[in-house]
Amino acid sequence: MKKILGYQRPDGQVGIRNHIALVYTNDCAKVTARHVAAIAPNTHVFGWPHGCHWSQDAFNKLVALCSHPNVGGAVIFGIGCERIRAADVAAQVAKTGKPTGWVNIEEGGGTIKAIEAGLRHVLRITREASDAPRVELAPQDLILAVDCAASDSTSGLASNPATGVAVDFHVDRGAITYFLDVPEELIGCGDCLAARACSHTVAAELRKVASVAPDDPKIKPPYGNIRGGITTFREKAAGALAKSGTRPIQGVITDFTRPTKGGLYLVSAPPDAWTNDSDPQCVQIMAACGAHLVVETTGCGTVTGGVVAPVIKVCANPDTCAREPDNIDVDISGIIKGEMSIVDAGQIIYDEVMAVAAGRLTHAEILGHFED
Amino acid sequence: MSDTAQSSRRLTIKMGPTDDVAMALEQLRAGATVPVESAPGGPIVQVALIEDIPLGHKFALRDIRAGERIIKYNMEIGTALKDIPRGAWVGEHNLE
Repeated sequence: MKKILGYQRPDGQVGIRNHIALVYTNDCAKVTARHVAAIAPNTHVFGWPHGCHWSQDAFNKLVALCSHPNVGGAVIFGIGCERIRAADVAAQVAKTGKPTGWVNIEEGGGTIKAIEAGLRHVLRITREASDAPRVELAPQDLILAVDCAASDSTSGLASNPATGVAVDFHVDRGAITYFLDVPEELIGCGDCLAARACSHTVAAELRKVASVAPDDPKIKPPYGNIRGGITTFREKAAGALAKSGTRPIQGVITDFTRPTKGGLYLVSAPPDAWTNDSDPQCVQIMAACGAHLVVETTGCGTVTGGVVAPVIKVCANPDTCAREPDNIDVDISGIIKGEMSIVDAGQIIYDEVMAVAAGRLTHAEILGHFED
Repeated sequence: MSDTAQSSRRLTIKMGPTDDVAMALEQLRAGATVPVESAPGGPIVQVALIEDIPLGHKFALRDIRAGERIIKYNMEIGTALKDIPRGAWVGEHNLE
């Protein structure tokens, strides 16, 4: 196995990528940030595409993403009159010791001057970030996250169980591993989750999260799921849960602080931290919790990636793999074809995780899929 | 081919040993009799299909009465909307 040579940040954290983040704190600053990104390659734009009001969860998420070890430095753009102040975000991120800058578009004199100021920050920050020491990251210090996206029946019967095998490998190393399920993906799973909890307290937390979404049989899954063979939300949830493997669950993460103890955790983000309950948002939430990279299973064939953490796409649907090979990193359709066991597929997925951590670029990264 | 082995190409998969349904790994046709591994490494059960089963879709492993809960992944995934005979396609039309 190739060593993972990571980028060491001033606070000692080690990342597997060296991104420069351009962050907008509200909708009005978004275009300016994108204009800077258009001029400076190797920058990645993300932010809070909403209005002026304060959101503690949004503030915390932006700070967490900028403080992530995969991020070498950040420039924060604010229009100037919103509640989530660019200077405040930058000040929090600066506590990690990594280079930061901020731009107030209104006070700075409008678009052109903001672009100029932003580019000067990018110049300074990128030079410094590119000097980051290269140090080895031990596999057990790699935070892996898993998610399912655009699921069909092959997700629940093949790609999720195979991902669960990879998760078991990683958790057995003592590493922190996340799985994320939105409330509708936990319908009916309270008993199963509680049975795996490491304590009564965690069991109660898991039951609480599993009871958020209404367990109403009249509410149907999306058309793509039905067409693919998933009939009820409970069935979808059971298939989704297979990606979490079999190991005990250490806790539920509901904010953006990383746990100190290794093991498996369910990520259930605060409701106000979402801009939209989408697959890129799920990836972003897990990155905000510190995930270095994300394994995303797909049945229908989603194409999305993520801004901070690279996304490895795993697919077991033979038709999708044949139709969309450009977007799939790991083709385990051999399970459906009867040629590959779930355990063997899990090893293939885990080998890819280690390769991407060590520097292999995912299809999503190469094709520019850094969805905000 | 031994009594306890599937054919060289697996046609079905059952996710949990207590499940009421198994899934088709390829398009299966009404009238075919397909092997189902009842549990990992366990005995093979032959099921006669009475309807076409699309890839990834479910079929009943036993006669299910209307109103009964249906088990998959060893957990309840819903309720039968009508009587479902063994070998019938299980989906939106008869499961909620």
